[in-house]
Amino acid sequence: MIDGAFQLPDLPREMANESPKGGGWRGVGVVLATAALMIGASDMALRRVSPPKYVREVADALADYEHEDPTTLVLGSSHARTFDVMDRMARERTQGRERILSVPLEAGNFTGFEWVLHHRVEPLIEERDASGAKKRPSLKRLVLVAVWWDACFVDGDPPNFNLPSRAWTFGDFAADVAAHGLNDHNRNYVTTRWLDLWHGSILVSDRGHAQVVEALHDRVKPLSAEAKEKQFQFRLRGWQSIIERGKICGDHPKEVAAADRILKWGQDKGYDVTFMLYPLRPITLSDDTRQNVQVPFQKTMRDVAERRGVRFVDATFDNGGIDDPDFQDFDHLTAAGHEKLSNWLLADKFAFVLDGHVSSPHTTDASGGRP
Amino acid sequence: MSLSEVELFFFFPVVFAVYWLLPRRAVVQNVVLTTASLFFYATWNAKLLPLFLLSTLVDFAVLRAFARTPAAADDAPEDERAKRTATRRRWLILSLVSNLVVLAGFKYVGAFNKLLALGLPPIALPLGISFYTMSRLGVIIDTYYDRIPPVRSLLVWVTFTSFFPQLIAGPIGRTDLLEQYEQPRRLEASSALRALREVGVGFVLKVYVAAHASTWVNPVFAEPGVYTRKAHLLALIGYATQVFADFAGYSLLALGVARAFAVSLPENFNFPFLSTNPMELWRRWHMSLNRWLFDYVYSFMVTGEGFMNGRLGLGLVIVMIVSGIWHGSTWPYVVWGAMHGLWLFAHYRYDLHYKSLCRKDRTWVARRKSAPYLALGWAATIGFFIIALVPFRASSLGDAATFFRGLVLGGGTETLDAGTMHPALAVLLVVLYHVQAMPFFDSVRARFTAAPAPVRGLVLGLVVVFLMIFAPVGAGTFIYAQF
Repeated sequence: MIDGAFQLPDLPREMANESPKGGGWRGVGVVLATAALMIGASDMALRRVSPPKYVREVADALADYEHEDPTTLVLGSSHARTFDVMDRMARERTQGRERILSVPLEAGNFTGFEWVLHHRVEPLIEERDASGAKKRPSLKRLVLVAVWWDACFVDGDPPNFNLPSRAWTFGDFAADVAAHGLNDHNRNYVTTRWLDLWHGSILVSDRGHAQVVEALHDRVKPLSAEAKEKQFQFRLRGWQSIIERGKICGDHPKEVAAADRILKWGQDKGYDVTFMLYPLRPITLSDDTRQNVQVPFQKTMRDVAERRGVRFVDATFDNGGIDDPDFQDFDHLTAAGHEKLSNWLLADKFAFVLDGHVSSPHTTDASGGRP
Repeated sequence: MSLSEVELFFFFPVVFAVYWLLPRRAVVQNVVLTTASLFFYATWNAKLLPLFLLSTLVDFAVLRAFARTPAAADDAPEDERAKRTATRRRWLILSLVSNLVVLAGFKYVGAFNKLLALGLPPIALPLGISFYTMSRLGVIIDTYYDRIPPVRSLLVWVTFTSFFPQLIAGPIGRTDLLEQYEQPRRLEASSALRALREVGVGFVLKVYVAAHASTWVNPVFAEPGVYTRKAHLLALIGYATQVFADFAGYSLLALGVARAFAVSLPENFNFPFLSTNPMELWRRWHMSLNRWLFDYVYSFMVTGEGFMNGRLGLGLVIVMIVSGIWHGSTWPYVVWGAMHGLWLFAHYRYDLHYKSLCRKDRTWVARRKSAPYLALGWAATIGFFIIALVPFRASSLGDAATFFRGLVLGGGTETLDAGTMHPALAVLLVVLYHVQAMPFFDSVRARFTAAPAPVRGLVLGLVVVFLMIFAPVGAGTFIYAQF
């Protein structure tokens, strides 16, 4: 140091070397225990206001597959969960002869579904017993469920977070970290394992969802009908702007090719393959996005199905009367909506499941009817 | 890996448990810390780990060479002294060149590549390279000048160089840290409580304040000139809040995590927004960097045989330009550094003049301590600091100029989305954080410090609940990691 002017000033009094007083290690224990109690009590109280919501994820589906022998495998994003309801109906109506197993990759896309199929599901399909016979030999149908988002691909934006979050094993994570270092993409694996560790905690599971705040707000100062409508319209505009991005990222060749490969894989295995487009909530589409996102997507997917020669069920708008009240949010059905759609599908487009019918591979019915 | 991301909750408990369950011997503790730190580094980029280790070994070889060739005693023969000095200088130059070439290579090749259109592929900046290079060079230079004895243990040296809490962004370790690694460490209860407080406050600043303040910042800086004057002003205040909370918060996390291993790192921020003159501000902001720059750049320039011997004011300009270039190799950073250098220079000249007035008439001394003088000094200091953040944040000088125009003249019609109250609360928290450190709050702080353990536990619990509800997802990303 060359001049007194450059000497660092002291920290404010009581701050520099101040350590909280607290009765030694017992004090530390009391501080931690009280903090833990406070967090636990808050979590319990908040769970009463806003209970955690659980949905079936890839891991649940794989656990089910371990001890099930399904006849129909459904791949898709969150929308595949409708087939859990359809599974119950099909089992009831066929006395358990037909069993549908859905593998819902939340916020997935075709490349994601393909990864899950080959890395997580196929090993279970192909698993053999000591005699060399398939452990689960009943699979005879493959259903691929899609919406426009599944063919969307923007490199890094949004990051493809669904795979590390929901489908990776620790080995997949470690290999990716070794290759690329720990980054925002593979960190999703760690985040989700952290959520799993605190399964049941609303404070942990609500991170990023803000449902607790909304529920508290509803309790303390409920929004007026007018304010609710304003909020709804604001969110609707947000959702519509997401769909508008489909004009840029939609029908991406990489994703369309992945869809084609999934269908081909099913055909090569000798399965009855169905490609289904899931219903959309009508108000979420403006005339612009209907014409420039949705219609091109429907056409591209129809082309893929025709080229591949598989059954094509386009339930985007032709879906047995699914309408706004059947949706719990902008793209997921209510429980009653799932029932309604499943009933309609089993009565019409998916009646082949109840019949036990299996179309021979490489036949097509692009009209969406039964082959 | 980062101290403010979710992986810390898996990594830290394991290292903490192993560290304290094994025998409390310095060697064992250093092995645990080094292993954990190298793993921490490897999770960022395992391919660059050999480079990190190699440069660590080169510097250790230099330190050992200093040990083999100690500086000659004052009464030693002239030729012996000259010989030893020459040998030691060669080793010093080897260390300086190897460190600075690697640092400059990674930090500035990208800029030359762009400037000269060399077409080289982009190079990732090794994690914390600026910070660990400065830590090492400080020790090497101090050893060369015989201020400290040469480090004898390779393990101590690697532990010092790689200690994971400070690896990404400091605080830049100095020689006193080396002494800590040479002794076995014991964790006192009072230190554990202090660590909890540092981590708690650090998380609030980092994952709540910095993240929410950014919602005022990013849209306006992305399209300067498009927004209203008020939006520009909010973006600038938001950025001052963000950049402080981001770095001070991360530094507190580093201090708290290090303290959990009974390692005491140097403070990095000392309530900088309480400063009443620019010199004071730079002694309170990023203290470990500025101390390093003044000790190893400024002092060498303006003292002894330095090429600017005695030119203290001009030295300030140059050292701040160096600070700007250290932050980044683009013109906005250079301008930012130059602005601060000139500002310090002006203050230095003013201070000399004021001191001469004080010598003539002691009433000037009293005036300097008066509330209006301090308030004016505070407003000028903080005002200038905030204004100078424009080139620091802008992506180009053109954007900075557009932002200034928008700030002064307005011009745009876009307003910031009212959204939530969180950005305003974030600013308020930074204000309160500083206000509580002022002397007239001593008694309040003392009362809280002396509060029964359950009360402090409740506060800690509430802070955690608050963060879990209101800290946005993905708020752990750390701005200063890029430097």
